[in-house]
Amino acid sequence: MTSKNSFFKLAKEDFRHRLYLPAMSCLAFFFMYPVGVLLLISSTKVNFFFNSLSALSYDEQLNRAILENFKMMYQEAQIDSFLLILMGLVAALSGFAYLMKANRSDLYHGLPFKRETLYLVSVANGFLMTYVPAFVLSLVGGLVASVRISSMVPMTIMLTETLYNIPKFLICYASAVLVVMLTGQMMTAIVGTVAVFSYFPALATLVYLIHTVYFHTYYGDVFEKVYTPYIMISPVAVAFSIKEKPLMYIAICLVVGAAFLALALYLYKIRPLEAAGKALVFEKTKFPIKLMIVVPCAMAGALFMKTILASRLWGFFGFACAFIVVHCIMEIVYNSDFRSLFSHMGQFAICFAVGLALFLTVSFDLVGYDKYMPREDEIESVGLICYDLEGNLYNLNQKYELEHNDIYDEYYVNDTSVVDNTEIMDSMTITDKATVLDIASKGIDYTLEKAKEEQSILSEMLEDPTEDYELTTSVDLSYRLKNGRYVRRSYSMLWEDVKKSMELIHDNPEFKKGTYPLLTMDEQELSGVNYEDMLGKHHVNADAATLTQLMRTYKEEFSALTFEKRRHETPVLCLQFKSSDFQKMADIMKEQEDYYDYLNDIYYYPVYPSFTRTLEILRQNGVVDCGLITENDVDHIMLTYNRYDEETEDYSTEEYDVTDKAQIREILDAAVYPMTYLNSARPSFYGIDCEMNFTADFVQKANSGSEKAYGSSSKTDCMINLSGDAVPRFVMDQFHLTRSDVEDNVGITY
Amino acid sequence: MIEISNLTKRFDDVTAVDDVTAVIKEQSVFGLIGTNGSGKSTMMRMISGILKPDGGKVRVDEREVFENPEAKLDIFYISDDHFFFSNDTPEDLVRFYSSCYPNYDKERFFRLIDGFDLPRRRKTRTFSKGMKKQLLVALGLCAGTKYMLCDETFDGLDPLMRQAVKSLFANDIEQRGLTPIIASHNLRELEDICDHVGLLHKGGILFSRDLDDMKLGIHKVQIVLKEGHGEEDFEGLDIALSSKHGSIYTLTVRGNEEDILGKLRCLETVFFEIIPLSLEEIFISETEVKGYDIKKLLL
Repeated sequence: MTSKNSFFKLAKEDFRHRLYLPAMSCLAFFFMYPVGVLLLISSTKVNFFFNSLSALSYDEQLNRAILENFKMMYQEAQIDSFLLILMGLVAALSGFAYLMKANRSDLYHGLPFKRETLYLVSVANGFLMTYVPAFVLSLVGGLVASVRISSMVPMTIMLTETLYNIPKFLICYASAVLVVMLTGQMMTAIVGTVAVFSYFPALATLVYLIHTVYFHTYYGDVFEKVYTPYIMISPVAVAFSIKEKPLMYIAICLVVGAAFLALALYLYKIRPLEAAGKALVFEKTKFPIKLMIVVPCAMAGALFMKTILASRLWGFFGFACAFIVVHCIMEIVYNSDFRSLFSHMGQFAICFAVGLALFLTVSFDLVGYDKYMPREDEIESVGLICYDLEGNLYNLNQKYELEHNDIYDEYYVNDTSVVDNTEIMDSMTITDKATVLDIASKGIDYTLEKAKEEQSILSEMLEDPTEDYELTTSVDLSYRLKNGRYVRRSYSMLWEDVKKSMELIHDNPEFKKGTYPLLTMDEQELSGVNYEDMLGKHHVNADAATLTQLMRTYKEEFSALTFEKRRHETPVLCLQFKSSDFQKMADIMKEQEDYYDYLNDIYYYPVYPSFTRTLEILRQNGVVDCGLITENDVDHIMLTYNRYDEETEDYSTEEYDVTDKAQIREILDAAVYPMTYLNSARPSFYGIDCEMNFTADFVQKANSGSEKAYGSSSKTDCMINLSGDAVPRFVMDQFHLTRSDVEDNVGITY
Repeated sequence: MIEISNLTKRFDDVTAVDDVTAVIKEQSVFGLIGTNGSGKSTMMRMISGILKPDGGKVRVDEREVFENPEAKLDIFYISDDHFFFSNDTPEDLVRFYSSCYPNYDKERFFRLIDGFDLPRRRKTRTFSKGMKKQLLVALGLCAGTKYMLCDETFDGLDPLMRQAVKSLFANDIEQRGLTPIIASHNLRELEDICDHVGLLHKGGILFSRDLDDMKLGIHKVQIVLKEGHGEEDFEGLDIALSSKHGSIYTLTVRGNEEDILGKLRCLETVFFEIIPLSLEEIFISETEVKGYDIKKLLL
């Protein structure tokens, strides 16, 4: 009776009894594809913005917009895949629903068929009844779009996507079938399938949260260490990763899907039919599943209470409550009997012991996570990030890409990429291990001391607000060990404790090389230099050889910049060294009259007064830097002070216009110019606004030697700050300021 | 022939069938009797190849039945709580079963359900319990299988229908060698249909015998003794049960009929006669031999 004829007859009967499944699939995918495409076309028409600057006609632009939205919806968002996977779950559950009821199971298994035949009929029908309607209707949807925009691209996309959907569907469908084989109740099968799809991502979140809450030196390398390995155990995550590496993930989906189906068949063959109606079919799976659920739930309970009340004791309370509740729920589910709450005390004890061991391990850091510091001889090199050493790290390391807008046939700059601190750290090769370990050691001590103080929420609430302010800093470290492993930690520490070591790191060429992309930029890549002065941004007009010389000189002087020098000097100019790729981006955007101003806000490096050789080259090429401004170049400076009256709680504005050349000179000596990029560690005084107005002659001179950079507007004045350590006496007298008033409005000094 | 040897089935801590050995001969009606929970359904499910025994074997015509479609082709199982697809009509059901059993006789099925006055195109979920049982019997008889397992199938059939089914069974036994196996908790249901009976109790089989053999070895006698004589006169008889109403003694006596008649003739009687035994009375005597009280087991 296992002949092909019988197989197809049985398949036909199964189809007849599950007619609702293809009907549901047809309905769902009718709305997903043909109706969805029509809605997409209508909505694109309504929201379409015609770009008159584009060389393309209205219809061409509209068609391209429709195609882009079509791609967005069916190729990138993969909404249809979600629906298909959902239908796959329904197919798996309905296909083997007969195993959940004893009388239904008896009917099927009393028939003269092997279980293999019943299994194959159900699995094959489930696939065909959901996938075939989806496939056909997707082609209809593709056809609708193709006809509308007179292009076969939508059709091709739909065809490709529906083929991609096969492995996606297979792995999720097979997972659901596998779960059904392990369960004897429909509800358990549904919950189990959801659990299989989401267990590891949820576990990854828990592991991440445990790290952030319990480990005070956790760096936060979430995706690499926690999410990626855990989430990828989820069939859904694997399915939706297909686009990233198609060949690899298609192979994974097909192999894992086939393996799951084979395992499900094996389980079906050994499945005791009397298990219909039981939560789990195989006794041996009960305890491991219970352990896998109860322990993480208990840890989540501990985490919840610890987060709210910040104490270990409350954490344990949360752990115990969650443990008992979840364990009891599982016993009720397993035994379908409320009175069986504590029917397996042995398992209860084992689960509790495992959970408690985990709880104690993280609560008391028994593995020494926070105190971890590799031995010097284990370390290959170290990467370090401290925003107090370089506050503009993000700006300097941001990555931009030139992309094409297919709708208007234009290029644009994609500035959405995020700077990856881990990548920066891991590529840094600091070999001064002793200094780094000293910083780490101080960091561990301070971080753990602070953590101890925060153990109780009460201590936090009772914290004395008048307590002396301590200057702290945060440091991220990445140890690259000799065994090839990366270990990362994040510390906070008192600046005073690590000041010397931090200065050593700052001055370390390996740190600079890893922090400043300019220092590794090839001279051959250089295609131009821009600069920013008090009047805006300009091009440096010089030949390629001069620009190369400028870059080489700047690199030498910038590499030699010490932290101590930064503490006493303020930049007089900023330079932007443009690579050929960067220039290409700028040129394309300029040509298309697109918004490109933000290209002027990135990659600027400071030029300090002590960079004499750099300044010399610049000055020879007509650049007027801030160091060249004299009192005769300034017409007047308007000082504005906003006074706060503590009694009336009101602000009053006082102004003083400085026209005296001697006073202007004093202000110039203390001036901090408004560069996009300020790398100085010299403190600025923010109490007084200074608007410096230049003479017409000076403005002409400053602009004469160079061409205005793209997007930069002409200015005749600039706002400056005063250095906190050099506020002129006459300014303090004019506004009746004491030294203390100044210090209260000075930026943090490192 | 179905051979059951040392058959055992456990559900968690409960042993539903415990080391049962029995033989079901072809072309006879086998009655499997037992109280609720005695293991009848479990045994039927093992005989039909649904459940895998934990121990022992079920062989149908010398073939293991579990996971053996060839052997299952000879078996049609009607469970006590038979599943019907909710929207199926008798026509749909016959299409379903005929796709499973190659020798299915559709024409006969329609003749039968017409005879039972069952509507062909009405959804089975609207059928009464008795109608469903009739439908199942019709479905089973037309499957063309050699063995037909009926679990409590007669429960719910009216006496007229029971007679009709019995005659259908008799016809199929004669025509094509059908062997019906009927499980029931009710002795009276099986009384006039079974050739062979097995009594299950607490998962174990108390006995399995031919009804005729049993009837040959036990008889019911009604006697009126002459005045001055009493029960002491019955010493030579192997009495299983006795009762007295007025001057009439009703005895259930073991032994062959001739021996019993010979002994009765030697007694000072006004009147005596051997009357037919009910299945219940046979069981009472048989189970007593095994040390059980049948009234506690079944009645």
